[in-house]
Amino acid sequence: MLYLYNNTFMKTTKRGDESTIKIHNRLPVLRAERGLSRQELADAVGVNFQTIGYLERGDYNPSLELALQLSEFFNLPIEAIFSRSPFKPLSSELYARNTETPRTETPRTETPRTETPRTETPNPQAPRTPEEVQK
Amino acid sequence: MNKTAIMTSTPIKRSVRRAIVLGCYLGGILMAFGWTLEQPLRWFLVIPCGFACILCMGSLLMPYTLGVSDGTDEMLDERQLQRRNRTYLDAYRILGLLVMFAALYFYIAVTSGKWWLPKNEYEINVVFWGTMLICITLPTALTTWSEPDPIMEDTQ
Repeated sequence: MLYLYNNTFMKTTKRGDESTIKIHNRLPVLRAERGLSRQELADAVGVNFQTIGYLERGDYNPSLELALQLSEFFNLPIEAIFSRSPFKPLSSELYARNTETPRTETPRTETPRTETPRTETPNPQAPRTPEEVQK
Repeated sequence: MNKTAIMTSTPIKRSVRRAIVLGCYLGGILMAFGWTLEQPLRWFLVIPCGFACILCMGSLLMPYTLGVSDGTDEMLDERQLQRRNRTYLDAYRILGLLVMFAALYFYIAVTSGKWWLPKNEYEINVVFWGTMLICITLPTALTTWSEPDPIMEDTQ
């Protein structure tokens, strides 16, 4: 009984900032895209730069307030910054989006071939060499 | 207050911080042990160990010098507050247990008269200063011990 209680307790609660649920984020990419240092981002959202580092490293999960602040700062929805499942690389997502969109080009139509089909079996009565053709 | 302005000193690696915590408590224990030795050998142990203990205790009493999340609410951001509250809760539990067992021990020792009790000045000093050292430094020592390795600022 005690084991069950402890097990449930450990799975559903946080111990300090060591959360049992891993939250993935795109902070390093977003920060690099904008050319920001950790200190600059930390100043913008009002936390210590170490906290930004721990967030990026996945050692700390942000509060809703901090997540909203980061979302407002980057002008992106929260789900674009944080996710419960690992993010795909941005480049591959962008590329995948481009290839998934329907094409506007006119579809290729298969034109019927006008060439005579090649036959594999040679015609025994057909001339083989130029001399035979002249004859 | 700007919470990003705190911890201006360079954060220290966890191994160094742990060495400071160990230096504080081991220094205290060795210093207390040194007092029991003969005169020439006593000072060789008491002076360096006492010096190390006091230096490390001074560092623990000024946690911002170690780059550790410790301070008032206004100085800390949400992660640092979480860490501080967690370690303070752990310290409270540990101290509570120590006080409970100490009270139980002294109750049995006094009533039975068979167990050890501090009698002379030296033994009373060891118990008194040991208790003071633990009470003063334990919360910060736990924070200093458990804080993960710092992440150095990048130059982007």
